[in-house]
Amino acid sequence: MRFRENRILACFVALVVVLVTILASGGGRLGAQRAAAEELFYHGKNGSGQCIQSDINARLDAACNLITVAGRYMQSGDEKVAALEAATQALQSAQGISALYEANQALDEPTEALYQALNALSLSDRDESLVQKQYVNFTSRADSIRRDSYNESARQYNQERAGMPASLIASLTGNEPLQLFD
Amino acid sequence: MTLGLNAWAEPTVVEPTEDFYVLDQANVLSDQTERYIIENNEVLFNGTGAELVFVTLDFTGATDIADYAYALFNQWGIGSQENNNGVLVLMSIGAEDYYLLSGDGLEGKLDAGELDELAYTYLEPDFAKEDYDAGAQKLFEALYARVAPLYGMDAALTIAYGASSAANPQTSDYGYTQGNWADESPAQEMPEDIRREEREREDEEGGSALAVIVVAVILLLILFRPFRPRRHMGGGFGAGMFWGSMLGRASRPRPPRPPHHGPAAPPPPPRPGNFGGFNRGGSSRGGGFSRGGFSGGGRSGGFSRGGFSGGGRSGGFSRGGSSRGGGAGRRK
Repeated sequence: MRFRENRILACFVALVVVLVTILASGGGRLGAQRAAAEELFYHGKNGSGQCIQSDINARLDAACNLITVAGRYMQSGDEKVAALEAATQALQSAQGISALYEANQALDEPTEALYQALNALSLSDRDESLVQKQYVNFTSRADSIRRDSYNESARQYNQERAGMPASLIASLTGNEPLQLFD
Repeated sequence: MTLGLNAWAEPTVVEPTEDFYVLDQANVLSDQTERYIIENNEVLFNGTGAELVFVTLDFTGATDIADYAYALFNQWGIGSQENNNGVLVLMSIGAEDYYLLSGDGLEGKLDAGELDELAYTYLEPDFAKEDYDAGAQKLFEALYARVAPLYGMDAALTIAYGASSAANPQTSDYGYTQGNWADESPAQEMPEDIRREEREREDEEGGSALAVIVVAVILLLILFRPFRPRRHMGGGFGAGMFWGSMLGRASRPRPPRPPHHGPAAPPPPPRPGNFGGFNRGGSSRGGGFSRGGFSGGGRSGGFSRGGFSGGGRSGGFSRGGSSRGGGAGRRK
């Protein structure tokens, strides 16, 4: 029987083509959804730059600025300063969204402690204003992070990915689940 | 201080007045201060799209003042869509608290630290003495002086405190339509970018499913063409014949019949009147791709952005700003 008239082979080829199309289409769709959610985290909506990553960077800056002011009034090696320095270094070396979340959370306590310690000192008017501004910027960014839509987008993606046949397609096309920032 | 990530549910907030820029529900602002804020805001909006909105309430109920301010800002759509440069001053008189929040377009220009400093310098001294009217007036002036120059506008207020708009021709006719909120259609229109995103998402979903269905239909039609009782013309994977008949050309020439020695074979059944060999009424099932399984899901976010954007449009700006949160509250 000639190749072109082999119905069994034809069915097999047709099945393969359909499966490949489904994989390509479904995998592409999942991939796009995953990329869009990740984009929210690192670059913000429509690439605005207003995102969790930028908020984390701003908090890091504020914490470092407090350390700078503290250096003018507190002794070298002060434990509150050292604690915040260690936390900022941990944040800067964090890799991945889950690690960033942990490191970002770990900034809160030492920042609050150093802020309170500075408030108890007799700062110059300028430094008092600087300290207050940095502290407010630090805490306000936590509020922005809390309201960011990344987690919701990531959950939506993970939920769709978990269904069938999406989970199979996702595994075959390398679309791993997204880490949540919580 | 709680800085962790908690689930946030959007509260119900008050609705704006016709004038939009001032809502004195706590009744602590004088008519003079209200007009002062409203009329200078009109000038500011026409020139920059910025809006400095003052809201006084007795309480924010079970809702934290920061959450209330965030919801109000985004539901009202404070600031222009173009520059996203609104500022909200929310005063909760019964709670002896206040909160300032700016639009996303002011990030980097007027951050929370600056809002905090402005509030502490211009509002706090009078607020602590319960002279809320004086504090609001001073804070408004300070915010105006800070925001207007960001967009190349003079920091000096156009309308002096106590002067009326009738005495100042600049505000008499800007073609500014404040909008009567009571007359606005209850169905708030979504900003164009959100509508476009939804259309793009729907197009994407439809496109993927359609591609699979088209491929599956074509293959099924190739496989299950009408059965031809000829030994040399079986319904195999004859793609060439399929495309030939699609184009309306005659089928390929038949090979000569072998000689037979029996009664004459019955004539072949007439071909269906379809063009191109399609099996009319044949199945066109998709290839197992369930559209429901890849649904895009609902929109994220619980607020309607630019919820009241229909009302204000002048000077090329339309209302509909938004904020990501992260404002400045009263120092404890």
